[in-house]
Amino acid sequence: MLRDPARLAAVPAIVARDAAQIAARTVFPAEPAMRADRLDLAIDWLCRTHDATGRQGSSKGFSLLHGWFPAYPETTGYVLGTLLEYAARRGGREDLVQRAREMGDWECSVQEPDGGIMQGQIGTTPRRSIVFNTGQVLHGWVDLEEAGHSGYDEAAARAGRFLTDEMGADGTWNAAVQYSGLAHTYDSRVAWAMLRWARRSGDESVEDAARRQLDWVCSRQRANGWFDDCVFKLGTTPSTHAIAYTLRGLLESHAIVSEERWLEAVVRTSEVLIRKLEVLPRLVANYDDDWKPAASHSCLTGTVQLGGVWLRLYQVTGDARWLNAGLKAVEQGAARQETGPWAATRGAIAGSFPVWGRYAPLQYPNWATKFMADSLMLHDDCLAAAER
Amino acid sequence: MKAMLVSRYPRVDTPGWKRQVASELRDAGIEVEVLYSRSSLADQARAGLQEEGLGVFKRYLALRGGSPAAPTVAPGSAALAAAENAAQSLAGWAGEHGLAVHRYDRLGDDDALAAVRASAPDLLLLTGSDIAPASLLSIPRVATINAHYGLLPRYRGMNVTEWSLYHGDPPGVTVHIVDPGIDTGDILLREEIPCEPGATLESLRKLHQAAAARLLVTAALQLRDGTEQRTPQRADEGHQYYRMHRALRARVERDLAQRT
Repeated sequence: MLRDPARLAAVPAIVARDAAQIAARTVFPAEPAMRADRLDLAIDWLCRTHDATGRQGSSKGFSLLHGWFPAYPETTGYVLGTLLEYAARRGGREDLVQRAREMGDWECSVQEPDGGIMQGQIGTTPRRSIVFNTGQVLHGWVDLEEAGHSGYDEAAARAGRFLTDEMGADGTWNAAVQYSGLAHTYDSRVAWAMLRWARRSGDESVEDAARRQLDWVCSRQRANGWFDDCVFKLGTTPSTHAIAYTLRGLLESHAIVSEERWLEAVVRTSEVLIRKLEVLPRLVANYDDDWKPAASHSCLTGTVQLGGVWLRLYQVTGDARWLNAGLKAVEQGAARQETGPWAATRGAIAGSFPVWGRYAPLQYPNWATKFMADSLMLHDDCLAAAER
Repeated sequence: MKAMLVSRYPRVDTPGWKRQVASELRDAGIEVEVLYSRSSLADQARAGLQEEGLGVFKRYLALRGGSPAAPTVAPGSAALAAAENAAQSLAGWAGEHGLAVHRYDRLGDDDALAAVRASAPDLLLLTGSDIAPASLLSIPRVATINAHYGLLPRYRGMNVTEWSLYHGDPPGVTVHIVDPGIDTGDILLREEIPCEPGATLESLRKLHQAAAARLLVTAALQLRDGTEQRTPQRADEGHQYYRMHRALRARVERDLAQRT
């Protein structure tokens, strides 16, 4: 950091700003500042994560202490989908489509012999395939194929086979291919990818496996909407990031196969969380099993993701309460977007608010800005629909 | 019978309709007291800012007569009398009429609960109060009632006038028994509010206040006389709504403006 004067100046300023905002919000409520170019800034920053690796995948993110991280296969898989979606809204911007294709090709080049995608960032050893990461890259390959870019079906088929073969009869995966060796409810996002692939490929065994996983996820939900096993590691409380992953996987899977109980599970948890959004100054990062706040910081990734879940819930159900909550959550998270001149962070959101919070401290993960961009696009779509 | 009006924010209150409730209850021979929560100015400012944003200052200035935008009125005119009447807080009015006024930071504070128990009201009437804790609801002999600015059971929670209009439903007022849920207690009285061409959210708010005052008094008298009709609510008959996002509120205001 000492060798980088720009970072030397920016880091104290960012930390001081967040400290001042934390202090000010004890008296003044936040009025989310939504810039007209917020989405463009986010996409520009995602492109910089690609440039930071020499266009070999998307960097895991930027650290205020260490600079750019290496490429991250898991999240590159879904960053490319964001670029494709944004490009489609900007007249098919060819430079972004090209980046998405490069990311998809790079994912093919790092796919493991068993069809899975490795844990961690590039350079992690020993390499081993992980269910969640495989599912997220499967999303990216399906995104590319659905957008008319061929050449990814074979890799997708191998990933789909890996995910199906490694699953047990109870709908969970072999511990050897799970992050932390645990079953996770947020693997509903993997099941969602499998359903997408099953519908594209016609492979019913993949769909059957996805359904088993989603039913297992529902079995982990308590009557109060809380999910057991909604954590990355044992001994922690669920983060809004993991909860949002879980809900989005269930919701999108419902949207594909119309399984009402998956939708009901999303609504049950969301009813609790939209109340949290309303009665507290901001969504905090973690909640205990009685839904009491278990952190003082916010996980900005989780906040914008939950906003996206509720906006999709509005699109699926037509219930304007979800629109209301989704708009607010997205704006709450997006209000923390960096808009200063420093290119390393301009357009990104940090892992946490304040920036030193426990979730990705002093870092700008690529997935945080990816989900913000996704949710901002939904924000605009839903507002436009509500105007009609 | 003794009734206690429960309210908040004495300095930024909209007191006219509350005074009407108190006055009509007194005229009907009911003993009236007043309970205020968050009586310190700093607490009110913080809570008001969190709930209403900077607009709370404008309302404060208008109510205190200090707003440069406040209309000027001729000395001795009926308009001046009305303005002075509107600016007088419920607490001020109650003090002038010799009614007991209890002020506490929060309704659930031990000293507040002790004061209410000592007063032993038969009926609590929530007139723009904070959420009443279960420990308070259990004190009155007969019931606690509230005037909700929406038609229950469908529209529970906040900004339900706006939410009703958003969905194309009539706005209205419901007086209901208060239980520990949010607007889930037995319904006593309901009344739709006419939404005429030219109506605004502000004009509808005044109509709601007038209806709320009338229905609260009617319900209180029915409860005193044992003639009330209680209609239980089912949880699945409605939704809880929250503060409406400004973009959706703008749509409601636009739709209102386009009514002919």
